[in-house]
Amino acid sequence: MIHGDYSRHTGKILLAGLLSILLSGCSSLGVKPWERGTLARPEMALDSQPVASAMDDHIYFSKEASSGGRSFGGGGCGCN
Amino acid sequence: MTVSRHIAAILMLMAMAGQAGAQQQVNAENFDLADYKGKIVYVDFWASWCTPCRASFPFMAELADTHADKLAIVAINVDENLADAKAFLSDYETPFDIVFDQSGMLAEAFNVPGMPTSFLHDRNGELIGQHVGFRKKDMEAIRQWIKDNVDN
Amino acid sequence: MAVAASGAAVVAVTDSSAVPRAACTPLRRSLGLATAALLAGGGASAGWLPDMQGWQTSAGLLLYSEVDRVRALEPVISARKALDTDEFLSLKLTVDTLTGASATGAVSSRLAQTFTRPSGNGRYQVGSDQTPLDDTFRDTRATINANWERPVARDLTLELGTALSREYDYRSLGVSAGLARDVNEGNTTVSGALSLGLDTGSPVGGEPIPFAAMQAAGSEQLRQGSGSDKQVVDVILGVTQIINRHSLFQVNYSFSNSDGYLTDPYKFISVVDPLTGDPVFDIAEQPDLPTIAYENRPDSRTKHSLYAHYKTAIDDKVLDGSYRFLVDDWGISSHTLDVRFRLPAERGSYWQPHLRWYQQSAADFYTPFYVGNDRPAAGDSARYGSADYRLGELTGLTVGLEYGRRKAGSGWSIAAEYYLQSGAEPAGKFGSLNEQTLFPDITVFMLRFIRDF
Repeated sequence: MIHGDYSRHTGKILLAGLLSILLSGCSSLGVKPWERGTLARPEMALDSQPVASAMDDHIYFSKEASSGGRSFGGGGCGCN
Repeated sequence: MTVSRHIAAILMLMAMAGQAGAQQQVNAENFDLADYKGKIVYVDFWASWCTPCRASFPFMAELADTHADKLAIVAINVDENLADAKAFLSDYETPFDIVFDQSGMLAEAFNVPGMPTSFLHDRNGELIGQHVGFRKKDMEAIRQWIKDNVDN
Repeated sequence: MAVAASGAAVVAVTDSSAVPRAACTPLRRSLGLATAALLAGGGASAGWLPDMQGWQTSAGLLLYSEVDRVRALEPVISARKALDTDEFLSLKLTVDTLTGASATGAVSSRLAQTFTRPSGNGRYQVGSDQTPLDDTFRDTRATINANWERPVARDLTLELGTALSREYDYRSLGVSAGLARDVNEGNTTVSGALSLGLDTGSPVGGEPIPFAAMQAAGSEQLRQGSGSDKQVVDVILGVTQIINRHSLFQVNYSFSNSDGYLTDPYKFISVVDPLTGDPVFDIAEQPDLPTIAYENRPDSRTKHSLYAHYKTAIDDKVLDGSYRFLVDDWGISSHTLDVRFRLPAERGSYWQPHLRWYQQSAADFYTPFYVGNDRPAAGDSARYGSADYRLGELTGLTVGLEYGRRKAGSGWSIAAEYYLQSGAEPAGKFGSLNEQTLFPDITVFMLRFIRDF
């Protein structure tokens, strides 16, 4: 029970942190549309190796108690 | 096979591209919209790293071909690295003018809102409108848009 | 140009065999444009660039090998088609085959132990000072994923997905939907996604009664049923932000709730003698069968995580770093740090070292062993306990190196990774348990090939 409360509380803090990042100086960052040549390089994509990262996620899902975060937490697997 | 038929067509095209000779490649400093006075001008901002931009090239070639005498197409390249643009251009025949705007001065002047963006100008160089992005489903509308202005 | 186009069209019609096949390769990319020129007269439709036609395919193979334990082989084939410049369809098929031995949760002991296989038929022996592993661990799983991404309004993208997976004792169905909105001239993307999963397990031999003892092979095992469900709801809220011409970051908050049967039906907890620390052997029918208690976990788990990802290009090198903090209502909290550095080499090839560090605290109900009468009564589902090492306090370290080559839309890569998982030895060991390593290190070697074409 204590941990249930703790976790709910932490969730709120995390959410508040995310919102504050959202609302803060994002608008001062950035580049013009024609300045994205480097960012458009395939290796600069946030998930530049989707097949590899799915393999990794599956392994760590089955070996550790944590999953998800980057994308959905996986599941559909009787391995954990 | 249709593939070899196409290849034959390309070889023929390439052979004739030299003779056509109407297209030029200039740097941003030498670009002046007034040079195209008397024609409808389609100014397109593109980069070799931008997939929809690349996808629009066959379409622009088609436009250039359809309205050869009344429409001028100017494709302004904003690649920071000129070699990237040249590599793309050596792979694709472009029956329209190319401007190299490495510094982005023209992109800045046109206040390009997205990649690609095309700006349509009338025969006096006045801006008619702009189109952001390039999708398959946009093609028919752009064709009509240009046809209406060319025929006007 | 009109002349050239019609001239070409004539050539195309009259002469289709004059071009040697060898010419295909360098000219392949011009096809789209040529088609456009050819069709210019009719004007019905422009050509489409060759690199946007057809499917972009990736094939991968993962070889996974734990020292003395599980081995896995995972082939993957994934294909993506651009339906338009902003609309994509992706399909993926993953198969994984596992064989080898898996930890049961029981303690190792100076005494030899014999356990009954999950089926209730047959037994396996574990020698003295050996970690009890069930060597019948064998499974094949197939998963199909389909994803459709398309714009629904200006700067608003919808993504729909579904996943189906099937293995011998488990099946799962998942659907997901997400929306991403570009704001701030496309420099900021705000996204939200929801995923629902429905899993159904049908473990070999059925679900054991919580904390019930293992019965001798051939005798009737104490089972409560066969067929257990789990529902999973995941929500992700994220922001991706471009910082400058060469760097960007992403921050995600994730919420995940699982409800249903979350217990591992194949895991159990040793019961040890309060005086000697040795496993208790009090089953008259089979004196070498130690007394154990099948584990029981809560039927709900809620996780929250915060994930931050930063990526920057330093000239032609790319630094990729991410951190995840996760906390759940089982008392587990974890930190994951992942760093990759991509170094270009000659002719489009690259090297990419990889370092990952993971640390988790134990679940509240993590119980490496029960001492004598501490063991809950069989069927007491209000109490929780598990000796699954994955719910214990542990640290994982991954060191890897990837080499690859990439050119236009195609390429390949090979990566070798080494993973070391070190658990904290449980507190409260006594007697003969002091001579045992209850949480031995687990060493894994992985080899991964990926080919994009």
